[in-house]
Amino acid sequence: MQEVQYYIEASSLFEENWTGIPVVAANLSRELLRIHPNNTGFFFEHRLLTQEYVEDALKRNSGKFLEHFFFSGPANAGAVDVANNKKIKVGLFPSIKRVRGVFDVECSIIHDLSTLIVPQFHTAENIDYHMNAFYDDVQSNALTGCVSQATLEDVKQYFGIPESKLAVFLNGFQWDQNDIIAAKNSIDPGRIEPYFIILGTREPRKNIMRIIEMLELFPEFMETHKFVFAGKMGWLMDHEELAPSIRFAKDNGRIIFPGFVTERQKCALLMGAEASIYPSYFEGFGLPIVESLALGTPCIASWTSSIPEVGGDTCYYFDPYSVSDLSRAVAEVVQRRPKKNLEIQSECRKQASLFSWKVTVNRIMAALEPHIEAATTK
Amino acid sequence: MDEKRDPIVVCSAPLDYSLFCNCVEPVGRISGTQSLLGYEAQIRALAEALNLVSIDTLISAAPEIFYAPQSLRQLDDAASQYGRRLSDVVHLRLGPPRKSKVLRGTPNIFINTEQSSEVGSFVSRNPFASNTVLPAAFRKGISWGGGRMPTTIDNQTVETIVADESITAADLYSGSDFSSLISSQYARHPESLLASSVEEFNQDAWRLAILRKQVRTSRDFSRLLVAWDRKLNNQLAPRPGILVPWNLADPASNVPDIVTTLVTFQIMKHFNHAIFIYPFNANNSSLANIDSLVNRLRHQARGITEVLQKFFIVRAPGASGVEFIQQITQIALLQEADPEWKWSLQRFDALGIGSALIAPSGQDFNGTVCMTVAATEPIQRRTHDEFGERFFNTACPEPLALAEFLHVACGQKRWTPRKPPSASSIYDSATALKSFIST
Repeated sequence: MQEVQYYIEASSLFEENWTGIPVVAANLSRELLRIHPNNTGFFFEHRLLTQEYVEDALKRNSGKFLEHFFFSGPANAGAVDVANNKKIKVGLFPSIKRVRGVFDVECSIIHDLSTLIVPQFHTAENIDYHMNAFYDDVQSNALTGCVSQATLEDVKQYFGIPESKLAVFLNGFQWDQNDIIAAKNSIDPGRIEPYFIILGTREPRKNIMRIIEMLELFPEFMETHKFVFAGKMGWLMDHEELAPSIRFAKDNGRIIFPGFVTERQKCALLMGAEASIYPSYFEGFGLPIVESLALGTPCIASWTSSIPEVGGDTCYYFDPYSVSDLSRAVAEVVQRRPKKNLEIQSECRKQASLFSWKVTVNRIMAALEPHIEAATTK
Repeated sequence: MDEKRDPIVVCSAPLDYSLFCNCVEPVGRISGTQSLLGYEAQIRALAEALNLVSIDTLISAAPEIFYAPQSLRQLDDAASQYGRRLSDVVHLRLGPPRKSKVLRGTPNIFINTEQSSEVGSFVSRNPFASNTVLPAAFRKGISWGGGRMPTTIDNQTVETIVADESITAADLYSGSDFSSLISSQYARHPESLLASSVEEFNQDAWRLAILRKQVRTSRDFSRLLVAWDRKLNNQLAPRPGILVPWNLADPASNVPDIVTTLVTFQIMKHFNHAIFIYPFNANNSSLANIDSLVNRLRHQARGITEVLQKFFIVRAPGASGVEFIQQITQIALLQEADPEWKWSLQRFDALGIGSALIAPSGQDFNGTVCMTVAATEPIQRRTHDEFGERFFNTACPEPLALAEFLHVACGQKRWTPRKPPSASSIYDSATALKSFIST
């Protein structure tokens, strides 16, 4: 078979702080460099990036200098050699494609169809950004990766894309060991009052208000547990006045809004929590659940879309439209105290370990094989 | 060999999701929702018709979220309340094609009540934004109220049947012989409506009343009924209300412009009737449009109380509310530009409410409407939403045409009600639907 040259689209690596898509791109890059160190390249639109600069960015876990060096020259390695037929060129796009039809085989990853399926939770600009590219990207792909089976089914059911052109590429996840050590050092279990942690940008799709509704109706939960809502305010958030009982609870420290937290702080908060709560209406994957389970912290999660695929049997599921169902799940955790059960903690970690970048990249390679072969015989 | 069971239907539509306490519920649990027009009324009518042929109906706030076994268990539990299982579920989706959602793992059938498949030129590359394609999962469709069936995105033809007009009225009739709701004796049920004059309207109170499924009428409305007491009892005298249905799902609706023109008429100070603005197909974001219109009317009327007390925002949250609307409405003012106008017309016909239609001049509606109002002032509306930036070419009537309409409509005796559909015709139509859904 002809030799294969892989190219990874690097635009998301230009960001200074890597969260979300840049993390996906970075981990794909690291794994591919490990498997094919001599056959992995990076590109931005029609230009290549010099590998050593990308490797430097991967070590720093930041694209702060990479962007500068690319646009100022040193990291710009010239145009992609589209005329070179000695190798099969495979273009991997961690998200939306800025260019199409450049490589012999192209594959992009769909993270989330929520801008299509639940547009009421997005701004018009965000919807434009995603939907403008989506259909053309999928049409131009030899293979489209979806971050969950649920997302793959959505692509099939809405767009009629045949299964042979789709594959599931689950996101991987691993905590930074330094963050874990720092978290362990900051937590004194004997001195922490039990609390539930709710993470994520406070936007309508995340359904945070359902928890507030539950606390209004069932304030007794706050007698034994605090509720910590960490994350920044997002777009379209409901600016509803808090009920007096909730304001009282907030003033008395039973409900806490620490705002944006760093990865290290997030790690500590999750590690010390009784459980995390994830009431989202709709997800393409559900990374916060894996983050929680990886630390042995059980999760109370809505059973919507891809979430049960990620949480498996370890989560306590509820109907995201039902306050009573949420309260039932919370009551179960309050009563059973699963965090104290080492076996349950182990189960949580085991579930989280299914999501590994090594496994994902191997899956990508395997899924691409028939398409690479087809390109070779053309 | 397993006996083939009747299906159980799960309906969905682009509704205000705050109405729901669970993701899937029996359709009867969603009581207190708007019952006269639009998706909510369509679901009620469908459910009643299907009930005749032993098909039970559930309603889902968000069919798109069901996928994993844990979620499907909820569906299965809901179906088992009716002796059915998940495998018996059929999803019926209402609303515009561009907002269609799929319930994975079940047959999906699209019900189209919209007339026009054109939504104006658009910029969005969302392939569903054109309103002319459906998700690939829809292989069957029901055309209701004259709606045309789009093709699917992967160019498959959708097998379609036409729902008979009698289905539109299935929830409006009570008794085994489906005798009409129109009673010979006037029955006053002001407590069955949510109604507020523009003068008294308060957005928060309105929204709360909807969430709590309350019925309440403002003081101005009660005064109106007192003033009209004798006339309402007179079977020959005109009724007080000119009903203006306002489809909130239509981003290019002309209703705000039309009622704003009406509010500027000098005659409104001494107008012996009232304008009932009837919003329907509301969702979480479109409710704010009502407040915008109220503010606009207040501004245009320059705060003249006597005028603002003649304009009402009205909602019928239940069958008795619909009956009361029927009692107090002289004529409904429909617009051909409203994609659901034909379905609304069928509904008003069933209630014996005459309809006027605003349409470009020169069209013949074969006597289906009582009168037409010529829309001769061209307007281009520009909207920007999740489907991109779109331009709609539409037309409004000139002020003189509206004034003439008021004069004619209010001067008429009550319109002669049409004969309601027979019980057997509703049953036959429902049987045809059942056969289509089940195969």
